[in-house]
Amino acid sequence: MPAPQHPPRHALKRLGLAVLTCVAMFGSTVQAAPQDGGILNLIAQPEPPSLMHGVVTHVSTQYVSGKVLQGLLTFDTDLKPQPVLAKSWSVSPDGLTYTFDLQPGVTWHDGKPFTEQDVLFSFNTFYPEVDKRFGSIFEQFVAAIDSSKPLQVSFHLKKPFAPLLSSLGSGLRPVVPKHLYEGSDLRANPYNLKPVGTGPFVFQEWKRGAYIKLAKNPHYWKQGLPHLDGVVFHVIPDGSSRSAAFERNDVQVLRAGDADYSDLKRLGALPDVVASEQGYELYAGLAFLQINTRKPPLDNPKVRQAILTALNRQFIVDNIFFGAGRVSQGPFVSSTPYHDPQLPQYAYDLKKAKALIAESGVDVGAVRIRLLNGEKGGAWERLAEYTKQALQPLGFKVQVVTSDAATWFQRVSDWDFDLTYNFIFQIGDPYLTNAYLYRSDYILKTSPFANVSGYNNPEADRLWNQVVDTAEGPQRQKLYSELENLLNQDLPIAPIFEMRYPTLYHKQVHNLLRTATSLNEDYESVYLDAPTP
Amino acid sequence: MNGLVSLGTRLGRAGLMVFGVLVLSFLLIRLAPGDPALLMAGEAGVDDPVFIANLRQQMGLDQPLLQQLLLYLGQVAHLDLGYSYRNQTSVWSLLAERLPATLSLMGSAFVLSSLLGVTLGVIAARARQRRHWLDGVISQGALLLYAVPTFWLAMLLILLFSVHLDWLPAFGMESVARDLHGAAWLGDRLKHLLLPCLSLSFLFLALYIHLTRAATLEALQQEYVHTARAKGLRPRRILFGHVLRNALLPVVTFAGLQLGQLASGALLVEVVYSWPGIGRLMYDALAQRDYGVLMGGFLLISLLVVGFNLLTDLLCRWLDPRIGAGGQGT
Amino acid sequence: MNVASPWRRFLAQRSALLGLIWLLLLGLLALAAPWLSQGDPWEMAAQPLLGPLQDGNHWLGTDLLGRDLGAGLLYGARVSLAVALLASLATLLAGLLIGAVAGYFGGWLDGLLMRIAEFFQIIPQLVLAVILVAILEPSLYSIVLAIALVAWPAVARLVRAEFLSLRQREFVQAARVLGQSPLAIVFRQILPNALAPLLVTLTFVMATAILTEAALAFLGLGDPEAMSWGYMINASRGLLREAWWMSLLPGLAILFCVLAVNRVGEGLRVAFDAARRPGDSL
Repeated sequence: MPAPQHPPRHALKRLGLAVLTCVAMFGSTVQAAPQDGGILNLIAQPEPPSLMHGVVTHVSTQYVSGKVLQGLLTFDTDLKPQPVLAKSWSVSPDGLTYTFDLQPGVTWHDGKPFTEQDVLFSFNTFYPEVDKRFGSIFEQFVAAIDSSKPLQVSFHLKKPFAPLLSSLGSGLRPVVPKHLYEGSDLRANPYNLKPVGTGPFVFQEWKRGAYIKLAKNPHYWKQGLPHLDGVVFHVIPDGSSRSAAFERNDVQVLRAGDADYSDLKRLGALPDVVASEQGYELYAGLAFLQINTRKPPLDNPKVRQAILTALNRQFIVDNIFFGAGRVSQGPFVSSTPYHDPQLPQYAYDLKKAKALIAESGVDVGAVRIRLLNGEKGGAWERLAEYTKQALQPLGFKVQVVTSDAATWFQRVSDWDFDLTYNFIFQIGDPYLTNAYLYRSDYILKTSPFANVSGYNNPEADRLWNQVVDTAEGPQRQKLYSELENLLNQDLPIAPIFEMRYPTLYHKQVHNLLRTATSLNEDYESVYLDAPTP
Repeated sequence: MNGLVSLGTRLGRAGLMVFGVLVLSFLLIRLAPGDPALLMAGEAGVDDPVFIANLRQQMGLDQPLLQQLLLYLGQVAHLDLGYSYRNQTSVWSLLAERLPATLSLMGSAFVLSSLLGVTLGVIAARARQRRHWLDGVISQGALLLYAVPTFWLAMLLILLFSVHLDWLPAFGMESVARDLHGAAWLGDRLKHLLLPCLSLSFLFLALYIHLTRAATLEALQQEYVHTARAKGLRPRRILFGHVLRNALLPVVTFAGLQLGQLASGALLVEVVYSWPGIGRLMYDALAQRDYGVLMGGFLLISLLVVGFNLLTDLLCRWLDPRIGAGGQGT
Repeated sequence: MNVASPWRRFLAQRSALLGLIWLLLLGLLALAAPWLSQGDPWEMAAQPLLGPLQDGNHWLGTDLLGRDLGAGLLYGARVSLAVALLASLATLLAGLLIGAVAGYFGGWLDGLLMRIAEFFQIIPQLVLAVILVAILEPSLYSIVLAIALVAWPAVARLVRAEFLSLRQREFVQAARVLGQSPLAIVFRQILPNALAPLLVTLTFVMATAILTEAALAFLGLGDPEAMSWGYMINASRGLLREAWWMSLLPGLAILFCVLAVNRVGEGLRVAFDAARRPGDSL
C-alpha cells in the first residue's frame, strides 16, 4: 500500500489549522491532486429498512441515502453552516425572514431540473406530513415558506427561531423530488427503495441481505466530481466478521458501532489505518439510564441519586466502551450550548450512595428491580451486567432481563420496565431533542424516546415553555441553567456518558471526515489513493 | 395401482404437514411480544399515535387473531404470500431473491457431507473388519467434528483462512465491486462458498460417517454376505452389490429427516459469513416482527423438507423393493 | 440374557470410560464451584483483562469487567450440565407420555400424534428455539423448553415402536386383561425393554442441548443471569485476537463436554447392541 501523501486531516485540526477544513470544502484542489476512480466499500449495519432518509431516519438509511439525496446546507466541523443545494442565504435584520438562493443547473438523476418548487414541496408538504414533531415545531414558528423568483426560497417566521438552519442542515432533511412524490402515499412511495436525488451518486442496485450499490453520477452538477466510480455498502450482520472484513481491507471504513468496542484499539493500531473522532460534531450522543419513576422505590429522588452515585462511570467508559465516550456532566451534553458548567456532579462514591439510601429511609431490596436490556450489541449487555453488580452493595436486587429489539421497543414504549439504558442524539438546542424525555405532555406510550420515565414536574414544564419564548441570550441561558439544575436533582434520567464516535478508515481513503455529519455526507470529494479494481 | 394410492396418501399427508406448519408457526409467532407497527414507526423516527394506528390497520393487525389466520390461509391458497410492510415489497419476491443463496449453501453442504460421509463410513467399517487403525481415526474424528460448536468453528475458520492466510474471502457470496464473467465469475463464487459450506458440513459429515459405518457393519453381518462369500464372490462385488445397497437405506432416510436441521445450521453459518440466505432473512424477520416473511420462510422450508422426504422415500423404494407397494415404511 | 454384561461391555471400552470419567469429574467440579472459586462468577473481582498466570488468585485471568475466568468456566459447567440434564429429562417425560399414549391407544390418536412429531422433526429447530426464547424471554427454562420441544419426537417414536412390538407379542393385551394400568405397562414392560436405545437417544439430546444453548447465547439469546460457556464466548468475541484464551477456553470446554457425552452415548450403543447380538464382533 502506498504511503500517505499528506498528513491526515485530524492532525491538521489539532494544530489549530481548522480553517483549512472550510477551504477544502469546495475546491478539492487544495491538496495534492486527488485520483479519480475506484470503488469505496462501506458497511451498512444494520441493513436499512428504506433508502430514503427523508422518510426514515434510520442510521443506515442516512448513511446510504446521504450520497444520493442532498439537503440545502450542511455544517462544517466548527458547526458553521456551509452551502449544498442552497448556494447562499441571508437573514433579515429582524431575524424573521431567511432567504435561500439555490444552485443553478442542478438536475435530478432522472433528468428533470431541480427548482425552487422541489424545496417548497419538501418543506410545505413533505416533512410536515412524514414527521409530526417537525410539523408541530414548524407550525409553531414558521408563518409561510414561499418563492418570489426562480431558484429562490424564503422562510417567513412568526417569531425568531434560532435552530432553523440547524434543523435544515442536520442531514435529516434532504430536498425531495416533487415530481415523484407529489400526490403519492409518501411512506409507500416506490422511490423510497430506489431513491432519485441530486447527489454525486446514483442508486444502482439493492440486493437485500448482501449489498447496496451506488454508481457515479456522470451528470453531477459540480464539474469534475465525484472522484469515485461508485460506492458499495455491504451487509455484514456479525461484528467479528465486520472487523475481519475491515482488517482485510475488503471494506475501507468502520463507523463507530460497526466493530465491537473492545476490538477498536487493536484495529486502530493496524498499519495503514487511521482512527479519528472527527466528523460527528453535530451529533452529540448522550447515553443514559432511563428510570421508571412510577415504580417504588425508584419514585424517590434520593434513591435515583444514589443509583447514579454508585455507578463508576469512568470504569464504564474505559472498560466497557473502551474509551468511546466521556463521563457526562449533566442532562444536557456538555459540548452543546446552554449546558451549565457549574452544575453539581455525581462523582462515583459508594459511601455517599449508601448514605443517600439511608437518608431516603426506603428499603430498596424490598422488590426486585428489572433492568431491561435491549439488543444493542455486546457493550450494552456488559453495561447491564455491570449495573446489576454495582447496585448490589446498595441493597438492590436487580434482575437483568434481555429481550430482542422488538420486545425492548414495545416494553419501553409501554412503560413496562424499571431501568433501561437508552441514548439520544442531542442536536443543538435541548428543546429540540432532550425536552421530549422530560415534558409531561410527552408521557406517551408511543416510543421509547418519549417521556417513558413518567417524570411529571410542573415547574420543569413551566421552564420548558418559558425557554421557547425567550430569545437567545443570557436570559435564555439563565432559564436553561435553572432547568438543567432541576432535572439534575430530580434525575428521572441518569446521564451516563457522552458518546464519542471513533471512525476507523484505511489511509488510502481521503476527504472522508470533512463536516459535522461527515459519514452521512454525499462523498463528492472522497477519493482513493490506490483505487480498488 | 397400489403404489399410486400409496403415493397419493403420502402427498396428502405432506400437504397436511405443510398446513400444520403454517397454522402452528402463525400462532407461535403471534405469541411473541413486540409490535411490528411500533417498531417500524420507531425505525422511521416517528412517534405519532395516528400513524402507528394506521399502520396497524394496514397490516390487518387490528383484527381478531383467528380472522387474521383465516385471511392468511386464504391468501396462501391463492399462492399469495402477502406483503412485507417493513421491506415494502412482496414476501414472495424477498424469498425468491434469497432462495438461490440458501440452496447453493445447503445443497453443496449436503452433497459434500453425504458423499464424503458415506465414503469415509464405508472405509471405516471395512477397516474395522480388518482391525485396522484407520477405523479409530475416522470414528473418533467424527465424534470430534460432531462436538465442535458450528459458530465457534466458523469464527476460527475466518480468522485462519481469511485474515491470517488471506486465501479466502471473509463475507458474502460474491465480489460485488468487481465485474466478473465466465470462469472468473464461477471461481469467485466457489471461493466465497468454500468456508460457509465447510462450516455447515462438519456436523453432518460426522453424522453420515457414523451412520454409514454402523449400517455397513450391520449389513456385513447379514446372512447373505456369508452366503455370497461362500459362493466365492469377490469382496468388492459383495461390498458394492449387496452391502452398500442395504447400508444406504438408513442413510437416505436420515438425509430426508435432517434437512430441517441443515436449515438450522445454515442460520448460524449465514450470520457469521454474511451469507444472504433464507435463514438470515427469517432471523431478521423475527427481529422485525415481519410476520409475513417469517411465515413465508417456514412455508418454503417445510415445502423443501416435505418434497425432499418424498424424494428420499422413492429412493428407499428403489434401494429396497421389499418396502414396495403395501408397506408403510415408517 | 445376562443383565450385567452390557454394563461391563460399556466399561470395557476405553473411550467411553474416559468420557464417563470426564463427565463425572465435570459434574463434581460444577457442584463444587462455590468452594473452588472465590464467590460469584459475575463479581468484578480484580483488574480487568488480566492474562492467564498473571495473578495467583485468578490464574486463568479475568475478562473485560474483571470477572474471574476460572470461576466462569466452573459455573459454566453448572449451566451447561444443568441445561443438558433438564432438557433430557423434559424430553424423556414428554416423549414417554406421548409415545405411550400413541402406542397404547393407537388409531387416529396415534396418527395425529405421529404427524405432530413429524412436524417438529421437519421444522428448523434452531429457528423454532429462537422464536420460543423470544416469546418467553431468555432464561434457562425457556431454553430447556425450546430444546425439549424439538427433541421429544425421537423418544416418542422409540416408546411407541416398543409398544407396537409388545402389542404384537400380545404382552399389552395380556397386561390389559390382567388389569394393568398403562402407566404400569410403561414402567414394567416398555422402559426396561427400550432402556438401551432410550439412553443412547438421551445422550444425543444432551449433546444437542449443550450445543443449542451455546448457539442461542451466541445469537444473544442466552439467559442473562446464567454464566454459561456460550455466554463467555459471545462476551469475549470482540477480543478474540488479543485475548484469544477468553473465547478459546469456553469453546474447548463445550467441545470436550459434548465429546464426552457422545463417547458415552456411543459406548452405550455398542454395549447394548453387542448384548442383543452376542455373536457380533463389534
